[in-house]
Amino acid sequence: MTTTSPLPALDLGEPVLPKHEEFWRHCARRELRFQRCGQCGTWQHPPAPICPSCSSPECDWEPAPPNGELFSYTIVHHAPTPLLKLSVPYNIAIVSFKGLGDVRLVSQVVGVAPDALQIGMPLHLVWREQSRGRWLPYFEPGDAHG
Amino acid sequence: MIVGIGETRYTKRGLQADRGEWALACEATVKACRNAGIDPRRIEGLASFSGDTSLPWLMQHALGIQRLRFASMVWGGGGSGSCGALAHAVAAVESAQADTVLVFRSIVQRTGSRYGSAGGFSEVPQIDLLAPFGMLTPASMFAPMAMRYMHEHGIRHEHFAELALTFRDNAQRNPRAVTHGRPLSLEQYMASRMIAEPFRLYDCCQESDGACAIVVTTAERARDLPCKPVQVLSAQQGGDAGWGAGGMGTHTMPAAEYGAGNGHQLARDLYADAGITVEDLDFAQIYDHFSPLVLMALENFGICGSGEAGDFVASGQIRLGGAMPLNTSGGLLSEAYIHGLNLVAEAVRQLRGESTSQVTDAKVGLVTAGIGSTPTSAAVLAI
Repeated sequence: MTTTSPLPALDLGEPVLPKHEEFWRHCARRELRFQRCGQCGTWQHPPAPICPSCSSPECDWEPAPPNGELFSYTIVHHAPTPLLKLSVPYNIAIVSFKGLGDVRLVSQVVGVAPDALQIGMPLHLVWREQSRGRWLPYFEPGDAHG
Repeated sequence: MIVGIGETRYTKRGLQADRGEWALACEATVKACRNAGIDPRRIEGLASFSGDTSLPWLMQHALGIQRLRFASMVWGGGGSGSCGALAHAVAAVESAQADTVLVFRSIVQRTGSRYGSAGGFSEVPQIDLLAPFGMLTPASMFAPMAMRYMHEHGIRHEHFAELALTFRDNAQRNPRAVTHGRPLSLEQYMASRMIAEPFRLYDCCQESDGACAIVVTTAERARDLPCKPVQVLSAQQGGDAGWGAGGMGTHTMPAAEYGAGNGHQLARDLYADAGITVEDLDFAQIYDHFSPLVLMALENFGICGSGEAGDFVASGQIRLGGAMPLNTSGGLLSEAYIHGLNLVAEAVRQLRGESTSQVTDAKVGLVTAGIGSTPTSAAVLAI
């Protein structure tokens, strides 16, 4: 069984939503941060101009916990573009975080065979340089501290 | 009232590219008008969805529309808006903004814009958060929902197979179906390749060329027409809370609904507005872009309890003669992928008694749209 490694970078242009640029700026510094409302403390992802609970535009970017959980996943077998032909099968992971409610991250679990994935398994954040200067948040099985 | 339906030939994607979407839209429209007994020039409103390229001015130009009073486009890619466009048409007619409204969808898939490949699907504004991890197509966007659904409810591939096989079986009686003459066995289904787990090839809908059109008019006008009018008891759009970044976004919809789909509130509103309960339904045409999502829709729309859809389909209830025959034309999996407007046409045929897989004494039917994004839509039709 092949294990998933970071996919080759695809040229899909720049983020179209301005708030997404802020998310990626933190990633470039290898910091996974989510928006948290400065008024009511609600976490949210994807980034948005205002808080969905209280409509406040004031938000802080707070660090995500280093440990997450595999909420769901898929194994992609059919390459969606010829550029990924050598990468299939690869996994796509939906990662949730304790205490962050429905905030989840679409990512990948690297270094594991497809049949090793199980919904609910603990994961920890790792950074990989997908292309020069572009750091992306990935996950590996197990908790960060032991 | 729906008074006319019209469809072009349905084919595999690309086979009608030489004609183009506008020509197909016009053909389906003229057929729908003939079916209704209405002169196309008398159409007063146009309603479509999913960014149809046959723009109102093109349609007015070609059809010779004399008095264009209403034009509506429902946002969203794919087929979340099929019944939404119908809802807009009905609203326009009921509020006297237009006497007769055409609902239509025309699709020709060109090379380089396939639904199954990256680049043909760039309308997701959150794509920069998904694409670096290889989430580039509807299959990989909805597959994690289905994985969670299987995990929560013990659903198996055999349950998905029953949907694919039932719809393919229905298509064998329907000469319009692209898969007519190509039956599917359980062995073939199980041996088919994985696209994005748990979706096998035969869990994913086709890519098709073709157009479908529906004519909506007032009850008063319908009385003077030679056709058999079908009532729209209710047609609505709806989206549950928290689905703004759902299956086609960052998968941050509420955990309880993650493996259940987006349609609970819509179903309640729809049945209340139609003045029916789920027991009144004689059949359903459920949006089947991916077969696992049909199971979710069966639960969303109350046809099954939560987690019970797998057992329900396994017991043969969705086949012709069962308690709730589904997708009697073959659906998107086996008739054609016209973004679900062909499901509305099939519901009309059922109520007129004209289906190739006719449900005995069909009086009330449900049609749903894609439940993976928001808002989705649905309709209850009756005779």
